[in-house]
Amino acid sequence: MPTKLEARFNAGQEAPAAARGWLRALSKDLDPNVLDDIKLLVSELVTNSLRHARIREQDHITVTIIMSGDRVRVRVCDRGIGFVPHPVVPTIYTSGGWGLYFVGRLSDRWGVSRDRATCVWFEVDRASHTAKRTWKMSPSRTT
Amino acid sequence: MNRLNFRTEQRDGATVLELQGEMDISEGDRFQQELFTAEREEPPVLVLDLRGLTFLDSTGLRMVLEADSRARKANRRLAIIPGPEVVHRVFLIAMLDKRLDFIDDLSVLGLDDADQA
Repeated sequence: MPTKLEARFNAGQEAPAAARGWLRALSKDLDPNVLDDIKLLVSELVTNSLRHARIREQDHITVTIIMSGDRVRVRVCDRGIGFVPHPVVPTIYTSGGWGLYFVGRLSDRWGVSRDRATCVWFEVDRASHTAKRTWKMSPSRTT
Repeated sequence: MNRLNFRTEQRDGATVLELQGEMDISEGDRFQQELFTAEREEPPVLVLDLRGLTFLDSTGLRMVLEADSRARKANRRLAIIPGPEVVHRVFLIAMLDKRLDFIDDLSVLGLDDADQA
């Protein structure tokens, strides 16, 4: 039976750190490598909401985690203006665009959904993230 | 509450900016300001010491990249002492570990106190 956890964070500059702090409670349930990846990606997506969604500080950003035996699904939602994800690979000459690049490289699947809220979701397969990984100078993912 | 602490000092002929704590969007403006302050004297070598960081995301990565670009344009050197694995892997995943000037410690810079006027 999957476990679902959800938390809402005020849409201020402290939101990414607050979300990371909330995720620490998962250290009993998740491998440290999986948790490190999820912390980084949640920090990136919450930061994207703050930067691009034109939400106000009194608005909220909602983070939802669904853990099952083989994967962890994470969703970050805001009520902002939404955005179209660009499959752009950032370069050393473009200082922006790294957040979604990390989502693409570290997650096994990801996407965007829009309903009343804009949500970016990603999934991490536990098996591929549990082993200690070595990042290489290669455009392909090491799994 | 500050999640990030800074210390700037002259050491072995270089200006060293040490970062301690977590670097994310909440500390972006302060980090930017510390960089600008350290760059104001146009030191030939500016070292970012990331060993005290416990977290860094793309906000910090972007600022390091921009500082590197400024240094290259001004013909200055920006060297970086890597942080712990959870921090350095951000540069590895971004495939920037060869583009940026990572050093093990100050001794590899070939500077000494005598250079420091």
